[in-house]
Amino acid sequence: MSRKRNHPLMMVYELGNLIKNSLFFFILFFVVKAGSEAWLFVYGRYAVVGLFLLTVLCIPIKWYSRTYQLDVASLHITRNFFVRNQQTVPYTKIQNVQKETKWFHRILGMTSVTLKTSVQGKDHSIRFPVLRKEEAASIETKVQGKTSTPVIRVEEAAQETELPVFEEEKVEDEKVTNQPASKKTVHFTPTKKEIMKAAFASLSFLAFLPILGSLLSKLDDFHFEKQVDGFLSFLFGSTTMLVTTTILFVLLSGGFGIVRTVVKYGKYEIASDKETIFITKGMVDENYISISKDKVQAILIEQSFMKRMMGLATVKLVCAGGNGEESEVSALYPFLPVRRACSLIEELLPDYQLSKQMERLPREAFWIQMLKPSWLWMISTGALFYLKPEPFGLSSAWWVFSVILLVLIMASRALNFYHSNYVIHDHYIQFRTGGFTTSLFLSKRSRIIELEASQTLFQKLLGLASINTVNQANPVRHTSMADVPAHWAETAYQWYTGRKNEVHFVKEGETNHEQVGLDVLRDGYR
Amino acid sequence: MQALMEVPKQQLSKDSVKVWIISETIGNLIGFVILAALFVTDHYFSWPDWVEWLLIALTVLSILSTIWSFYRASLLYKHWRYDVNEEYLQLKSGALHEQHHIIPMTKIQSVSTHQGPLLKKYNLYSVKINTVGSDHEIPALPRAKAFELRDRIAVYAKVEEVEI
Repeated sequence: MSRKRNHPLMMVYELGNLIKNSLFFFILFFVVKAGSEAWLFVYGRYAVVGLFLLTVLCIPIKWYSRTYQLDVASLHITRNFFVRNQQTVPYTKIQNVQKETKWFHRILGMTSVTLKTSVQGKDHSIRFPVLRKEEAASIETKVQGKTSTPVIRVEEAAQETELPVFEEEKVEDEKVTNQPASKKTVHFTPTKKEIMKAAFASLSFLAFLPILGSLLSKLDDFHFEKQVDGFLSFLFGSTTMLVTTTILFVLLSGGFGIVRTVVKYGKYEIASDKETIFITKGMVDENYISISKDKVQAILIEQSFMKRMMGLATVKLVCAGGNGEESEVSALYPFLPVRRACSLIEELLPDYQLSKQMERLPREAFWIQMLKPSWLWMISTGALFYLKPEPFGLSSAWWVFSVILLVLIMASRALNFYHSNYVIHDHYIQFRTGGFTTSLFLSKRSRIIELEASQTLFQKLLGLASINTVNQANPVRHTSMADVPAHWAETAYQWYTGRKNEVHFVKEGETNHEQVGLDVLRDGYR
Repeated sequence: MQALMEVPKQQLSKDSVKVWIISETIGNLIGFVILAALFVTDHYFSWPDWVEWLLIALTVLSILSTIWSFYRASLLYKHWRYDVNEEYLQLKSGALHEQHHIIPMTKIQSVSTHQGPLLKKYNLYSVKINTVGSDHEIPALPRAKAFELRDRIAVYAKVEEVEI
């Protein structure tokens, strides 16, 4: 099996990135501080040019030294740049595959691939910045285990410094049953009406304001204060002018919101085949992600206040891997009508069943939640009392703020009580919580890696308890349900012990996990 | 919560009470020394009035918490339970805030024993259990029991699982 490199255009891409990133320094050293005689800038100029040239020289070496190889069960990456570094990633540890096609890739018919693994730390993902589309597709099918051809593993010469993330896994060359790639069905693409709704629900028209503001202040910076001030006074000069401006502004921001939404969510497609979910999005920069269905650890349905008013919801898939910052990645289309969201879950993940009927919290829970001391309120009231801010010359504003905050907190708590639901059905557990923003959590017993039941003194007196579940995510996700009846907590505890019926224990001496064949193996643990 | 499932029965070493009391006392003594130092500096540099009030309040709180710490140690001991079988590790702790943990063996990543100077005095060990996302500790066990538990968990945790 030959070692492959990224496409040579990677060098162009890296050069572009370098120019983009170093532009700031060039402007600072050669334009803004061009006349400065300070030693920092005099020598800094040489340093900037020197570093830039050095990095440019490094680019081809970096491209040449980075190779990869895909065998029957794992991906091998070698970087021989100063330090010899070899990384072996078994496909089973790869959580999802992402393809990002920026305008650069688009012009040249290329794409980039990122493989997210369940590893913590800096090696959590593997990125191929520039690849041919066919190569990207072949990596994806290999990794997701769709088609696998028997390949004889090439013995590798011993490396001087070897830093594999995982232990090298011994894989016998064996025949793996070829699975025909099942048919891909498209489940969802937004209609024009849905995009309009999304534009409104996302409040993206409000984003126009700060952009306009920053534009005006930028003009100020470039010594156009007179013109800006003159323009503003001209706008606010007469009533007709003011009305026209307002209408124009509303139209502009509305248009801006729609354009923004269309660019972001216009070309959206949720598709799936038997084992994988595919999400494609983005008008200009195309983002693509494929998630193996059995890597899904839990499902979340989230609704902000605005979305609840409009009957929309976001469906999120909790998956292991990634580094926590990219939570959007796991979101399906964020503006699905509620009913469609539920049916989409059934279509995409027939393994998961959403129960419509859920239990309400007992009445005792209401009091325990309402009367709990609010640290947020106490601390901010303390701060307000101390600072006594007087906006617009209102001297008694501080206690007004405090009261408003208290009302908001209490409203949120009351809503939380009203929204809180829980149920266990079959081997699924379902929690719903949240005040202004609600979130419904659905997971399978076999996907919960830890369970905790707890009781505070007050809960004990009222016969209540709290349940906390842990799922694998990046690294883990805790989901708790507070103030359920104590007997239900017991049931949940008991229910959890039944998970042994759903998992098969691979005993030592029995055929090992990695050798059973890739079909059994696509599970997201460990 | 009396679960239908077997309630964990294993207890910590009785000496754990002493260990806790000693370590709490050491901590409290250090706290009092710092407080005393603050009172002295307050006296010398005549800090504003509210500092003195704050220090007095802190002293009262420290005294209360010291008294409580003696009682707390025996309460903790009385309520700490753990148990382990082929499939699960169960932990139960806390009197005022009762917590039950259930951790499948297959999710345990590592298990280790630790001994600080105080534990050494009573020949005790603490057993630390790491899972993918959290750490748990069984605080004070006699040497033989701790080692046996560690090895048992290690054997059980070796088993892998595959969803069916």
